[in-house]
Amino acid sequence: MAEITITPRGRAGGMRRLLERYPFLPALAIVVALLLLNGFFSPNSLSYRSLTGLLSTYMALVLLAIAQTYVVYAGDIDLSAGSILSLVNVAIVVLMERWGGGAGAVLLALALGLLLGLACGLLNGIVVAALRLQAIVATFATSIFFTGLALYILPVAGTPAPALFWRTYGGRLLGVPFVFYILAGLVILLLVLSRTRLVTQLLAVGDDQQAAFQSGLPVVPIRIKGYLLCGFFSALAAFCITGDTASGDPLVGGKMTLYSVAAVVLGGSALSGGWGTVVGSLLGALTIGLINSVVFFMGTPSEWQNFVQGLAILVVLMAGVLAGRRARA
Amino acid sequence: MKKLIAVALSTVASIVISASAVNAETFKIGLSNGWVGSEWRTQMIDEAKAAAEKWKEKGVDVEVSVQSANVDVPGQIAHIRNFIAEGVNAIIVNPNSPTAFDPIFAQAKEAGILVIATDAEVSSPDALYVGIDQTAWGAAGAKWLAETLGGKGKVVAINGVAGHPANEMRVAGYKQVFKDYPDIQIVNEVNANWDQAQGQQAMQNILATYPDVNGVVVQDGMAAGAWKSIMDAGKTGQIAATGEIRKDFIDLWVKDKLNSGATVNPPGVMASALNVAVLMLQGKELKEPAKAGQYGNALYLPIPFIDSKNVGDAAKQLEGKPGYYSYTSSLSIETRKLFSSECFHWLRGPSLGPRFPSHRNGRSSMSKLKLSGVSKAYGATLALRRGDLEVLAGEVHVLMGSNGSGKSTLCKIIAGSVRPDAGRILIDNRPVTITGPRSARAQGIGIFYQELSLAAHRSVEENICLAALPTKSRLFVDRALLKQRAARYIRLFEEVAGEGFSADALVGNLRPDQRQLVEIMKALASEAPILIFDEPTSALDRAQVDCFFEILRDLTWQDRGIIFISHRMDEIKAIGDRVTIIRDGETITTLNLAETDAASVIRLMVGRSGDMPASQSSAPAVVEGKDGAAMTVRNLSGRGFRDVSFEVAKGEILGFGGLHGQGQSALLRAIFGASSISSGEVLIGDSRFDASSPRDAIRRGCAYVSGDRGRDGVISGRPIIENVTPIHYLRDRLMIARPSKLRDKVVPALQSMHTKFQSLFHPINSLSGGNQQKVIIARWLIDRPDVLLLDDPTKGIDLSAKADLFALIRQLAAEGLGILLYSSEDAELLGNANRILVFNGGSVSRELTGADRTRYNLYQAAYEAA
Repeated sequence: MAEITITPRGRAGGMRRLLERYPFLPALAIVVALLLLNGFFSPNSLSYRSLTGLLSTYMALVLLAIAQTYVVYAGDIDLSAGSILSLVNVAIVVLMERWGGGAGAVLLALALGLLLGLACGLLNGIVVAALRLQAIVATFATSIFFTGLALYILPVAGTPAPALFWRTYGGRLLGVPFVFYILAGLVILLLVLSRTRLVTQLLAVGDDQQAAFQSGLPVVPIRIKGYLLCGFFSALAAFCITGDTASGDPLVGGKMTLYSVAAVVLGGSALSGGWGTVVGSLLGALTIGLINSVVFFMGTPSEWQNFVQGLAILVVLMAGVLAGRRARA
Repeated sequence: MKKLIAVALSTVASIVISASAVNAETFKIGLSNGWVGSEWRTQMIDEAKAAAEKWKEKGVDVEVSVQSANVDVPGQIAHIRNFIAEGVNAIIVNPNSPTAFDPIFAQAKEAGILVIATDAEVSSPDALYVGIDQTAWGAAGAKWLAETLGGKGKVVAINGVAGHPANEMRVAGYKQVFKDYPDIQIVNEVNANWDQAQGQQAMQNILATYPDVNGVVVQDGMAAGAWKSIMDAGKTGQIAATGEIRKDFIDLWVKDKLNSGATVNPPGVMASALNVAVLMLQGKELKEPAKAGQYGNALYLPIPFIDSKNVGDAAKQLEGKPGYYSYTSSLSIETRKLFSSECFHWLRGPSLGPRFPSHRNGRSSMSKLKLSGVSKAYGATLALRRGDLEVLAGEVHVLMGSNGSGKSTLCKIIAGSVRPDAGRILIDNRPVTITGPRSARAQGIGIFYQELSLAAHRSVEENICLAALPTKSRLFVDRALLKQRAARYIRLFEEVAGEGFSADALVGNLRPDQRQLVEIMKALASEAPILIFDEPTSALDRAQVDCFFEILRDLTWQDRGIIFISHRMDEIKAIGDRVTIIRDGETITTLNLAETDAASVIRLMVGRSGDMPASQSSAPAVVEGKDGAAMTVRNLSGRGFRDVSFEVAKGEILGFGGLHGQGQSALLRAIFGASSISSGEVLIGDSRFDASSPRDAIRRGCAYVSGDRGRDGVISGRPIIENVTPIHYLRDRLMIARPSKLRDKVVPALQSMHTKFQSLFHPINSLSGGNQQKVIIARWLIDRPDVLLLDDPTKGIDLSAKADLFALIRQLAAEGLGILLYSSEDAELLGNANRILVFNGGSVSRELTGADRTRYNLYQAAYEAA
């Protein structure tokens, strides 16, 4: 039969297979390239210290991008992820403050913060999956709603987080920066999650919702679970932003939402669903962070920084998409 | 492939007996049982008899006479001698000795009798052994034990009857395995004569003597006894021991959480032997000569094996059976796969195995699924007025009706994706309510979706198992189990799946036919008792269809009810038992396919008898080519085809034939400018024509109609008029058009095709597939093209629409168009094309003209290089 079938496969087989297995490879290449670029403009930027700084600054975005990835898997989107982050941020800061800022208070507040994130995710899930409203508009609406709640809890940015909390986040444990533990924990969590049935089901729903329904998958609960995961990771992102900023800010997450969506796409996931990796999103978030620092290290005049930043994101996006498409075609 | 056929043919001489026995479909088969009195043997005989009954239901008269010796070799020889004298066609023996029967088997063979041994192997070269490999049986349990013990420990063996061939082979099997584990020590071996009480006693003694034993190899019924002793001694958690897949043992296993791994010698081995015998008597051939085993005459059946991971499934399967009931399998799909005939029978002519007449009487006509008076309306449109359907257990029930007649709605109602407005649904004579696809699945309904329900970015195996992903601790996907489950279904098609198909390939990267196979596998994996296949063969090639049909036949053997929809009459006749015809949302009638013919089915279906399409046998040729070439193609190469040259005259219909995906579509699309050409040239008339885009090709007088309407034709969701006019806009360079003027052009074009539509401004999606295709064709009729490229244009459209379509094509040819027609249906090519180019591997392997245009030549040319 060998001669009968003429398929375009086989030629770029190795590269193609590699990309199929690790679709985040272009994103990884871009991160490495940006790191080198950073190093070129300022060798200092590759120091252990500044890498740690980069990580602790962008850990929140990394988590938010991961949160976004799980809904994007299912072909949905969550425009309220940043608002959930804001809401959880102000909620835990206020709670920690009110309960005195001790270790017990911090842990209790974090637990409640997680629950709050999950509750927001559940609300989004019900609105989008069960009530069948358009995800993009529905979550835009809930984002306003969540921001409103955050403003009610803390009308003005500024309440400080307990020193215990942010010193731990920014500090070291056994000589290693705490944020590396977070990264390690995150990687393990992602590995575990990637093996769950839920992730496969989310991807199947995102691939073709009708097909998944006809295959007998419980589509509505699966999509709701996607939003629950999103809420959970958004809450984790809020913890990081709280650790990094050491204060509450009801509007802190607003701008991050679209960055999280961009990170997902930069990481090689399809916004239409059914295709992607969380590792890619992680790298995508770092890409955005690195672009910001490249712009800075290049010495771009401040009035041009936004322009260059936007341009750079476009270029990177194009490079990633082209590389992926060429290798896959 | 040729090689395989040669191998298959060579086996005819060695195994299949003389043709004289084959003329009547009545077979006498003698069963000689070695001894009586064990429940296993009773089950074995019962199942063999049941298998014979099944053949009778399928219209093959199999008479069985059973003789039981009592552990007595001479007695058994006497039985066989009686059978020979009686003139049976085949003898199936469960022998008491491996060697003692050689002379009598030689006599039987001389008398033209097929001899099959089962359960225990025999040394006679004149017999065939059909059963499990006892050595592998012994090894399977030992392997499990060695792995469970982590490769070290003290093991005892409790064996059956010393000196019995099966026992000796099993012992050899486990010894072989333990040789690879030097740290496993066999501290003692006991013979307990396959007796449960003796097994229990032996285990008690062992535990008293060797308190530190942690592994036990024990066979069959003795396992239950041994485990009782282990449990009495309170050592359940400390000892791992083999078991057997028998109802009472499985119950014990599940209840007390034993650490066990179990095989079984299925009592169905004799039934399998009987089935093999009947198939051979019918003249079917083994795929490969049976030459396994120590005597070189064995055909080994698969050995079932379970461990604590899947014991739950086994328990579910054996629910409600008596305690002595052993897990069994007979004439499983795997067994049938032993025969070569399934994928190649067409090479030897049309007759293929038993035709199963469906005059069922009494007990056998068990209703699997019954729908009565089911109706469904969408707004004012009545999609289904009165749907009645009864599917019996063990039949392939064909559902026929032109597109839009309501059969898809009926299927969707059964599958749960549409809720009916009224009517009753009964499954196994119990009324049920189906609330959705999940509920349908839960009630035992599996469906193959015509539009495919696959996730493109997931692998083949994930797609197959998607609906019920196997999990560990209910959270994580159990990859190993998933692979194993999927492999079962992939294996069924492995010979016909083609290049690039593997368990971990992404579905999106597969060819359309391979994707369709995945959807079939997915439907099969539901293991549902009621299966619906809605046009499962539209993209498959001949070999794939044959392989699939063989599997369908196996499913009917398992008493499943199968609903089958296809627009190919030859397929329907090949696989269907009964047919229910639906017209205009109403069930017209149900017929036995054996008692009817294609013409009357089609007449019932279309409800008008006068203007029938010319049947396949009628004179194929249409108009002869007029002077001058409409299109000339020279040495054209591109992705998917290479070095193709031909000329199509004005007024000629040039057919493209061959297996699916041999470059026909790729070539047509390249000519139309939809994909690139790497070398060669195309001429329209005398001027060179290399279309860089479809837009260009259209302007130069090319038309292209594809069977993949969704991708290439339909502007989804837009009104019919907008779907007819785009070509007109382009060719006339229209910027502004008055609707009334357009209407004057659109309506005649649609009417020339007998298109049914309510208004020009209804969305095209409101039409059925056949009518949508007519709209697509109509768009080319306003401004006549010079060359018409037809890329499998009738895919998925009903017979009356096909007839309309071909009438039009012939008329267009008569008006002087050059027409290139690729069709996956040979009848369409043979019936309409003046010449046929057969494609193979991207180039033309043969040209058929005049009297050469026969089905045989077409097949032969298509398969030549394979």
